Amino acid sequence: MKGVTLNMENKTSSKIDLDSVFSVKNVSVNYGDFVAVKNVSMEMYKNKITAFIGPSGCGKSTLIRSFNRMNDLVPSAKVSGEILYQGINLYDQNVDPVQVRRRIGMVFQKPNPFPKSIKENIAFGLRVNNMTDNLDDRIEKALTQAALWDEVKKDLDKNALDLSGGQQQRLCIARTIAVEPDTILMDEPCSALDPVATKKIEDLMQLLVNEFSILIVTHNMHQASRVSDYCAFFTTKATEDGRRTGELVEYNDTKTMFTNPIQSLTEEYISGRFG
Amino acid sequence: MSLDTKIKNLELDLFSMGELVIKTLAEAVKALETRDVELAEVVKKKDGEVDKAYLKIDKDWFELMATEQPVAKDLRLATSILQASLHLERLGDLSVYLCKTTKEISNLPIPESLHKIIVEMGYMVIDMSSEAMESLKSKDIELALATANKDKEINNLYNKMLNEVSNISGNKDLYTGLFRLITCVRTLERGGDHAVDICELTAFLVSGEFREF
Amino acid sequence: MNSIKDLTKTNKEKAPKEIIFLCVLYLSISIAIITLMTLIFDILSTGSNRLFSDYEVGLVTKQQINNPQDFLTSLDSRDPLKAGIGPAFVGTLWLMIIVVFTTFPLGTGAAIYLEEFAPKNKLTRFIELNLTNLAGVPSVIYGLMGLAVFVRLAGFGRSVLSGGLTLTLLILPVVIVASREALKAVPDTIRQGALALGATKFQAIFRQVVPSAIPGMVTGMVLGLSRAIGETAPLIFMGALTYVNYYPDSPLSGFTAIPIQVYNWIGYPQAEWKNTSSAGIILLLVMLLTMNSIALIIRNKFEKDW
Repeated sequence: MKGVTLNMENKTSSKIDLDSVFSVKNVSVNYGDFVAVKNVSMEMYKNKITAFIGPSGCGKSTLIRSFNRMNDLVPSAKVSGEILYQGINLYDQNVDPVQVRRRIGMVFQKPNPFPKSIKENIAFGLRVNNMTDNLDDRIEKALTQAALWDEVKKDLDKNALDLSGGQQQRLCIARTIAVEPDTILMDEPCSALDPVATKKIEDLMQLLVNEFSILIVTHNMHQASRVSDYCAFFTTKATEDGRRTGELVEYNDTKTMFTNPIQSLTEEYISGRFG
Repeated sequence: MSLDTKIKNLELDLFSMGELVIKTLAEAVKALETRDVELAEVVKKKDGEVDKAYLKIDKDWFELMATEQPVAKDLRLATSILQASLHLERLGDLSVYLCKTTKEISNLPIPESLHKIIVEMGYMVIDMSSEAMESLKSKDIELALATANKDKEINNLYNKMLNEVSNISGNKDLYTGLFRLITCVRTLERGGDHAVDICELTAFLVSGEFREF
Repeated sequence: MNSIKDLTKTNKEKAPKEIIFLCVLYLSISIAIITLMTLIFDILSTGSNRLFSDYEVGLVTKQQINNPQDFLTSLDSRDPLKAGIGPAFVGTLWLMIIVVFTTFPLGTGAAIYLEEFAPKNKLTRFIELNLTNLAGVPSVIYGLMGLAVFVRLAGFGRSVLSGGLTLTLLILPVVIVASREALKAVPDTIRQGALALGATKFQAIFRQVVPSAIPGMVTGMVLGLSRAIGETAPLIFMGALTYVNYYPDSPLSGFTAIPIQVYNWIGYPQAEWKNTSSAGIILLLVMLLTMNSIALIIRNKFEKDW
């Protein structure tokens, strides 16, 4: 899709000429009769880092989890609207969620390596995807891409749980990219890490974005401003019945978002004067 | 201290610096107008206070950036404050120059008509500066535009001065040339000052301390 | 007003209360430990006669020199000096093997189903509730059930197979509960991590979750097993033999087990039987301690810091 103009209720301003990976149309996610996030429409672009920011409970994590159908694991979760991934509706009946997750990888908030060797952590994804040819080469490539190879090449058989938090998270990134997805979803990938490890992950993202499209949910506004190309700000609004529902407030390129946002709500949030 | 307090204090510092600079400038113009060498001497010494105010804003701004990383409106406000303070500091230098001139010309025969023009220009600058600061304070973009337009009148006075000088001399071409050269020399002299400012920045970059060379 | 000097002042008012309370605590723990130590000491001293020392008959003659091997390998006898625990020991080993091979697949299978696959509905909750209740049912009830189901209905007779299956039923609820706990202890992020890599639910569970839970499952299994080998009542109820003078050679052989043998010996009037049954108890204790140590070692070795 070329020459997409972003113009949803004046929430965005820029005219963009880029390939779209995700095209989200009027998406709402419900848990039972609770609406977690509603009426989100936005385009996300190929080889760009898009950040989702917003206060807790604004539905940003819920939304990112519906992008690779991880929400399927919650029985009461229901996604309405359309999420087109390179033109295909992810929630179409014929779409296999397992294949979706293979194409759209995910890195979680807390590093979650398998309690096995470093090598096995990466080999697992390759095995379940029948990518076992040149296993060792693929493992080396993934670890190199994740900027971890030099640190672990001597003890690939070491238990992954013995690595530091930052190394564990990079291992999780390595095993994600090993299965060659197109897109990586990151759900607050640095929230459990110290600043040094965070910096490494952020640098890594800048390298990976040449090959992958990246979506990151973050609580850290400065992280969003540092790493992302585009930024979406979500917030919660009280509905008639008093419950809170997440909404997209503004979606814009990051520079505009952090120097001259359109919505005053965005302004208040990013400058720390929210609520 | 919260970001709000810090940035508010910075704003207050800027406006009190503005008042100081404009008051000093008014006195300097007054001294020039009345050819009051003693007053000029007093006013000249006030530049120290202006420099102090400028350094304080500079330092506080720097701390604000380091600790609060302001974004959006705060970032724009902080940046405007820093740059405005720099301009005010230059205006302060202007007062010093006026005082020096008052002394230098006290024993020289200056034609009344030229003296009138220069004083008029002086008041015009005071007027514009205080309006500019007012527009910044009240965030009034209309006032800012109107004030900026007044620059034309100052340019007009400059040209009037040039005409007067060349008319009085009787040798129009020679004096026009001389006048142009003198203003050019003055501009170049200011250029040297700017270079010194950059050198001060080098020192700041290396040592982390603000220092006047 | 608090002053900084309060930091260095010892608070003397509270001290007596604290001391009394600590004394009560020490007393409770000492009673428990002393009782246990007395029991063990008594068993060891009476049992070691049969196991290690010269055995005195009457007041003068030293009739026989015993060693542990004799006791372990001899058949039962009417003579306390000759009676060994051989058949009961082998019977218990048979029981253990049958229990392991039936409980492990059934227990872990049920646990995996309940924990990972079962829909969260009323039926599942009902089953879960009943499992917990079953773990608390008196063991004689299992003996009666073993008699009805395995001995009579299935026609296995009063065999070691019937005995093993009865013990399996007895410890199955405990093993299922322990295995479920082990599965529950595997963080959800492991499941999500596997699924996010494009694994199917089946692959995620059987290649990541279950292997991570195996140490916990094995621990539960071993603890269940050690409960099983100490059980007497259900075996007696389902009809295990009390005097066995041969080694069981097939699952359908008649059998006895260590606790039954001990229970039997201790009922005889001669004083020497007391030493013999104590020796049997020592053997049972050694087996239980070994198994519990194995469980402990597994737990410590594979314990993960998620």
